[in-house]
Amino acid sequence: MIRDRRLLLGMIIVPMLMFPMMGLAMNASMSSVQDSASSIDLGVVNLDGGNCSGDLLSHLVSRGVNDQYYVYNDVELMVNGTEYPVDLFMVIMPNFTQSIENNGSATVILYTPLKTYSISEGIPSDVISGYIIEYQQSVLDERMAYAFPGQNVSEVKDPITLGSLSVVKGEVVPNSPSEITSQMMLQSLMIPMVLMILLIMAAQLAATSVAMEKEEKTLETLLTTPVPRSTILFGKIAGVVVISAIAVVAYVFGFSFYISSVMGAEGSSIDLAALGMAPTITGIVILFVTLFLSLVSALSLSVLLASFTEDVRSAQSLLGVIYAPIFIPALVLMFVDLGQLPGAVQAVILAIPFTYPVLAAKSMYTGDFSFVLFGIVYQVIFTAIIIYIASWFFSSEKIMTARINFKKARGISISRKKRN
Amino acid sequence: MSIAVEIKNLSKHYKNVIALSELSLDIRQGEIFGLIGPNGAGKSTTLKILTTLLTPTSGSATIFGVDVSENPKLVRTMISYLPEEAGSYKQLTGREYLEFMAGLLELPDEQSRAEVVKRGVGIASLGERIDDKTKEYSKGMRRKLLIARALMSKPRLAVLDEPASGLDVKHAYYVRGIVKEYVRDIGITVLLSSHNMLEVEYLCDRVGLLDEGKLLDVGTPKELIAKYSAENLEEVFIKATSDMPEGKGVSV
Repeated sequence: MIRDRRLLLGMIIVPMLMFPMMGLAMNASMSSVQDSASSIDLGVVNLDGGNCSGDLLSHLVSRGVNDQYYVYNDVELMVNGTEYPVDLFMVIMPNFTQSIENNGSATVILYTPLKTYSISEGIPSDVISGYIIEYQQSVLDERMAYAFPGQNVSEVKDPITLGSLSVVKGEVVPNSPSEITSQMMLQSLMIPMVLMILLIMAAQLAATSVAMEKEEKTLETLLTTPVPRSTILFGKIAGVVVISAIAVVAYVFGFSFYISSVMGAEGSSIDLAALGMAPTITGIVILFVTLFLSLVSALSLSVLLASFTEDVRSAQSLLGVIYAPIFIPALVLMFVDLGQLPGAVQAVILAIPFTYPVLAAKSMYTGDFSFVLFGIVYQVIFTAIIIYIASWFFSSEKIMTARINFKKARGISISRKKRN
Repeated sequence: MSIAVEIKNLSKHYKNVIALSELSLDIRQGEIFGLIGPNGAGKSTTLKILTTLLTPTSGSATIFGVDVSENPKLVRTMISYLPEEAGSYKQLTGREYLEFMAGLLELPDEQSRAEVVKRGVGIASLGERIDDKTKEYSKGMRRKLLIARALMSKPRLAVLDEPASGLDVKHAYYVRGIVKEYVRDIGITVLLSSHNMLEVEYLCDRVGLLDEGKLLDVGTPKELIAKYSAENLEEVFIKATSDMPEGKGVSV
């Protein structure tokens, strides 16, 4: 199986290259958007011509908007133009200066010609709007200074100063709860995502290894050798566990690079370790124990399911049965805490053995391992039962005769293959 | 001559199918015994029970005195099985395949393993192609490799299901030659099945005629041809099936 280059590609090379490339691509696209904001080509139709419209234009130039902006005299001509040499047009309406000077409301309208409808086309309008709001703020400050002479304008504008801090493990930290939880989500998003992908790929690999023995007609020969049937079963599982362990490293490396690329581009990273929220060694060990047990139970289940099929394609189809239990805990617990779910949903989630690595990933930061320790005991029992069933299945003639008949019209049924 | 395989009242029933019915048969040590019959006669079922892949519904079978149902692990150390539709691991070369399969045998040391592989390479007779990946082999080449795998360990009993089935004349001739020569040289016992009566006539010391899960007759090809006043085993089989009373076979 290891000789199969597709395996090496899918489980190790692709994640090691794909995630970093995705991260670099995201980084590059974000950077290019940021770069494009600093070189906006603006077309201006100034129907005012007074001091204040001049001040506004000067402010835009001071903020880096291309000072070689295009000047139009006619709105109709501008809107009806077929070729636009600019990213957007700004129309300063008549009496702009007069309205501002008389404490009235002046009007500026932005026109953005859409060509490709991509998100980046909306950015120039947002950027220019931001600069106009800055100018508006300066006008407001002048009005406030005039209205409240001798007073601090910012205090007049903000009568309440709001501070939002968080308390982490009994220590006050200088970040708002949403800053920390959004950072935690990125951290707790990564592990369930990696686990989900890994478990599914490992399950596919295990199922394929058994189904391929059947499809390529090597299983009968293998089963008549002196090697104990249980050794064949454990050999299949152990092989996939080893490959999966290598794949874990590849995925963690690749995904970490992806996350750090994206985070680096956003520039919003908070150092959780500095806030006392770094994962503990105990937490990491518990995570790996739950991950190992999940892997072994998923692989045993996959091998068992694949034993009912004749070929790789049928095995892959049948494997869909275990995708839902792998997806559900990862997706649900990615966004909500177990305690926030209704009791019945909690029971369902806790009954799924693949839940516990996700819970362990969260517990690494919170330090609350109560559910996870229960889960490890449960996982051991579940895995032992599945391995026992798989061993019994491999040791009996059922490995040769039991089939799931996909052709039955109503659902899946187990049948015995007719022999001559 | 001592008994290698002893089958007593062996039956195998599936839900609605009787694959094998009250089969009784002895195979002597050192002989090539052929089970012949059309598709669905029960040949492969018999072989699969003897090679511990299936369990009988009733009756018993022993190989060198060891019951296949009671001690399948010990039976597997004495036999080698070539299924009708056997495959090789496509990512391995022919030599690697033989090495891998030799690794699954109970051999005392690395040297014995190397000797077994060397013997396998010799039987396969694939020349330099032994170091090509088996996915690049023709059907005939693959079958030669698989025959080599089945015989390289000098099993006490080699069970070969349709050894030359689907091969062209050249490869089929070679495979038959290998079976016959190898058995003569090292004195193992061979049980093979075939629906090619002429092949069996050439290869086997004795044959058993199977039809619809029942044994019709057993004997040397010459004895059977004389008994049924036939020109060859094909004719013997046709006469045997037409003579058989409904629902009855013979025990030997």
